[in-house]
Amino acid sequence: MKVRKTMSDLLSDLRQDENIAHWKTIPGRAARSVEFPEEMDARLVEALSKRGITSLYTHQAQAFRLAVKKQDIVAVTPTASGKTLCYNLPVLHSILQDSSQRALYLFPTKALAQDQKSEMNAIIDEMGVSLNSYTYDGDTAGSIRQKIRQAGHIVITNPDMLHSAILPHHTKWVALFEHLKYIVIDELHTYRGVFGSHVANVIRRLKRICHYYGSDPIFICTSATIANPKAHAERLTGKPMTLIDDNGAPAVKKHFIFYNPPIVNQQMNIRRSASLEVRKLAKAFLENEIQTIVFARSRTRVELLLSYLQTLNTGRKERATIRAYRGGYLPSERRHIEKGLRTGEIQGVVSTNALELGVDIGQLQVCIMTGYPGSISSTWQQAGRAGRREDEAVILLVATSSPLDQYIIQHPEYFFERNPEEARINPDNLIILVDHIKCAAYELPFSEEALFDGVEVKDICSYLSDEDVLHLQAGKWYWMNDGFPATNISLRSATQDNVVIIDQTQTGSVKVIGEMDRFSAMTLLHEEAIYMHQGEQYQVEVLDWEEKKAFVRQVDVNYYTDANLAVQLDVLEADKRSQDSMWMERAYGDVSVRAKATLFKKIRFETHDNIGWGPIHLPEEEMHTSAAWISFSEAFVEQVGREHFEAALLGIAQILKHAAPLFVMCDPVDLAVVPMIKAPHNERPTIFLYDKYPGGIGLSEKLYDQMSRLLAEVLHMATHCQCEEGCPSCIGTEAGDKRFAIRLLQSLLKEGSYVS
Amino acid sequence: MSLKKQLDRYKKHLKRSEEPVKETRTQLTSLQLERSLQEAASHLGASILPYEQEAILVKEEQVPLTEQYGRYHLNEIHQAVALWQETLMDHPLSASKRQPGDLLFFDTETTGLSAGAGHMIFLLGCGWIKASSFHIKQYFLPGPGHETAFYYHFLQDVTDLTNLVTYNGKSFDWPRVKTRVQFVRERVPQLPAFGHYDLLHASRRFWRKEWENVRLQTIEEEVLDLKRLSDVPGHMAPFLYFEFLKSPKAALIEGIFRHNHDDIKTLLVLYIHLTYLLHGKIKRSLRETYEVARWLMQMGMIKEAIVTLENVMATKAAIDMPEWYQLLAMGHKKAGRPDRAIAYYQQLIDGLKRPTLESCIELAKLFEHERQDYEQALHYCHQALAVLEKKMIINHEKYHKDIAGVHHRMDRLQQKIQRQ
Repeated sequence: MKVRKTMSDLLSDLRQDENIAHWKTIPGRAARSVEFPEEMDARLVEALSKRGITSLYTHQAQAFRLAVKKQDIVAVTPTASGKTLCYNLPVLHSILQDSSQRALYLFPTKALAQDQKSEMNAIIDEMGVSLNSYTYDGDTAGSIRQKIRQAGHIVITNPDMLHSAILPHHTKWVALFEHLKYIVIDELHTYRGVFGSHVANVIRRLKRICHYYGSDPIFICTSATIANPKAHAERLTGKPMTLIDDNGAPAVKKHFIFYNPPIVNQQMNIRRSASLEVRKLAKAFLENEIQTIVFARSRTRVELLLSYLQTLNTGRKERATIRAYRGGYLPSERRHIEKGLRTGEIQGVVSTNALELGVDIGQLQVCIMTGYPGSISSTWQQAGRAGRREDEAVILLVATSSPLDQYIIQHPEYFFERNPEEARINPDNLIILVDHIKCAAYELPFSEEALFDGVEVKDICSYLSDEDVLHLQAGKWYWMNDGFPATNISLRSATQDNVVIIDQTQTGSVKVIGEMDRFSAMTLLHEEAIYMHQGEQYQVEVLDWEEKKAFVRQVDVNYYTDANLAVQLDVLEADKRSQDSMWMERAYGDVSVRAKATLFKKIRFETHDNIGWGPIHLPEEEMHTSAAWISFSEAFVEQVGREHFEAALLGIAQILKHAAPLFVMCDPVDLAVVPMIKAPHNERPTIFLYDKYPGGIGLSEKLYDQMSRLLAEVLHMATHCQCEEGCPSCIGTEAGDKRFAIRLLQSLLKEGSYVS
Repeated sequence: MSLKKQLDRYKKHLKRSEEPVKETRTQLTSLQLERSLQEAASHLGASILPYEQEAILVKEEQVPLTEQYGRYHLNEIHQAVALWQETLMDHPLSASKRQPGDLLFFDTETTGLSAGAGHMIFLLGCGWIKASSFHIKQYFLPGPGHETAFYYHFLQDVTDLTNLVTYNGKSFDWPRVKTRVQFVRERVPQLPAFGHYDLLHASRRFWRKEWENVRLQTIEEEVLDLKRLSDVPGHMAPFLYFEFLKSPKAALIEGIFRHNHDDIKTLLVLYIHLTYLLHGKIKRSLRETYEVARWLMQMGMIKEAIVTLENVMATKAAIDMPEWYQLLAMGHKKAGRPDRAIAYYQQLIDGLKRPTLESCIELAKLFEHERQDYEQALHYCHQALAVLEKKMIINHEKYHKDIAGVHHRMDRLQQKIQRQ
């Protein structure tokens, strides 16, 4: 019989592996605990003791002391540091002291809210007091909604529900709003970018309603590690915050291992596929029944890895159950997987960053990341999934050939020493702001000189009155339209309507298996596209763009599809401009982007051969947004030589795609880079970097400000890449001689002294 | 970039589907507004009632009870109310111990269909019997800033809301009144307790299978012999009102007043009609008879329900409605007459050749428990399976549950047969 290997056997095997680029052991840390604060309600202390909690971590005690003193706080809490007590203690204590008080909890997803309710109810039951805590979301039964509105001490919901169901119906929630003592915002770091900008406005509306009913709630926020937790919380809530970042929770010893797959093509600097390496590494752990989580960056990659990993199991009777987890699955499916992970029935899970959040799946032993997750903060968050109490934890970061991954893996100090990224939002993005002014006016009329959490709204209201949405009477703007504004405004996606994915494999039991935003659907759900769901392949048979429906049928093919998106860019207005050198001009302003999916390729698994293609017939989508761009002078082009210059331009744009997200903590999909040999507005070679949300969310503005640092980073990445002629990890393979790209960058940075 | 300029630029993104493009217009001065409001009031025959800094329009009309409206004279309300004093006193629509003048017929017009805080009621209409006329009083909100006056005057006049007669008022009109009063609650009289006859509920019972919808308009045409000429359709009301806010001309809202006025009269005659139906004062269709009986049965008036159905059967050969027999059989079973129940179920299966799952299962139960005839019970189980086999499957889960249920029963019967 095969003997099972232990974790230390596996670790010593790993130590022999020559592909390990860096091995950092993070020592375990003992807990720093303090006694329960004296003022804390005795019933609460007793209930906690019964549940085995006899003292508090320092950060929990600090959160309690500050919150009961009516200070708005933000606590930075890594995965599994007992963050829920940071807010549950002050909230429960206050309600125990005065049962008329209320609290509102906001979680980014329904799943997290459900978790929270079970945990909360466990403590409440232990105390044996009459205290009602409920989740309120789309799944809440109509019969208990009224009870929740009138008698729920703690209402647990999500921003979308607050936006579309609670605030517009605030007259039914008087009991909550009149006595609202605490607002808890968990997973604060997830409220960034477009989504965060929307949520900041929902919070403005919430504060406005509270003010109307005479309450002034205290905010308690918790966040994963980001560079600017205090500033971010302040921007999101519009209130000054006290920061708690002294974490007292214990941690086990962790091995953080950087793994770089071997080079298979020296000249092209191509490395073996990260997915294949991950398969091998995950297999070693799973075969020895060590619970492992594998993260992958895209939905497609998750499905690919799952199908790779599931082949491990054939023939094994007691096969380790391996599942995929990502957005787009139906809630019941997700609940099932979460439970399986907690009970150990499921040994392995392949996930997108959906499991980065505090979904309760317990602690696993091993975490493997397929490629750098894109930000320092996200990486720590994913790594936090490994670290079960009794054993050492292993975290493996397996690099892909992408320039960003290669940069990180070769510069471990960058990752381990640098601050994590900032979370950025722009609540004043005009499009987002106008949307929420509408919703706010629907909720309560605006008086003519009113401010919306400090923002002047007069111009917007008068615009909306011209549009027949508001009506000005006796100094007040009233909603005067038969529509319900919140229905048309989604907090989560740039475009309003999602495409529903309908599986028609079995006639007679046609069912919806997921949904996708419209922009992604252009390249992932076009007709003939191969769409992956729980490891199964589906081919899109019909995409009804008008009705937003994609009809798919299950297939079994040996390829996947990859679509091209053609982008047109026009500058509408430059707001900032700077002639940085005689060679280069830098600008920031408004642009119009027109995108059209053109064609798709069929690519064979494993070999990545292109085995066919087809056209995509979808209408063009247009968007106005903000962009930063750099243009080069004609003299510079002539000096470099036109042919070399054009190739180098493509190369630099290629690296920028990977480097720019480093500067502005953002999902690479929120930002686009487009090189143009001849930009329409000035007929000069230009590289555009634009926000992929109408009106922009502040990413490109920051890039404009930090352009020289950004270009320096790009140069660094190009020069330190091990390839000779340029490779997919740096400037790409179609950019000609790498030296030209490097020289071009050098000369730009050296104040325009080009030396050939 | 200035906000104005940005707003211009992003116009396309800012536009949501519900908003048409309109040109900028000039605001009316408060003096102009007051003057046009006065003109509108005199044109409509309404008076202006002020309160605090606000004002509303109120229009009162007396309709003589001798007027014929569709198939009824309005004064038949007296007869209708009298009927409730004798029988069916506990029925949800019963007006027992009430006078015709106690009933308040009530309907509203709103700026939108959602129940959120941003939609208002701009017309409250109510009607009641007073001496020899039907008195209709309409309260009109001349603009959003006048809601205190609006609810103040309404709640001053209407102090008893325990006998409200509406069409879908329980889930539409009344929650909206509550929402709006919430905003002005400190300055208006308290909202009185609310009790209620919802005629939509009754209409749905009687006619949901008959007509494609049970909108009031449909009921008027199909049931009450009413045809409205040049009526403003209800869904247009918000748009006309928005136009009125921009230029207060009586012509824009005249039609809405008329529409609301007619709706209230319809409520009166519909109440008469439903009362007659329930009391058997008018000829009922088979479906209507069945629904009357079903309603009675649900209220626990089993004897009355059975009589209602059997009276009709005495004059008819066969009734092609399986549910008719099932209801009868169920009634007898509840009343402790299993033999009669068996007879009705068998009539359905053997006489009409219309076996249903319910009738087969019920027969199997009755033969098993009441007559201890397990062979016969088994026979009906087989019939039940045959019915299930022919069924078009919509709900798979239920289908499999049903099949499993029958098999379970059959196993038990087999055991009992063996033991015998």
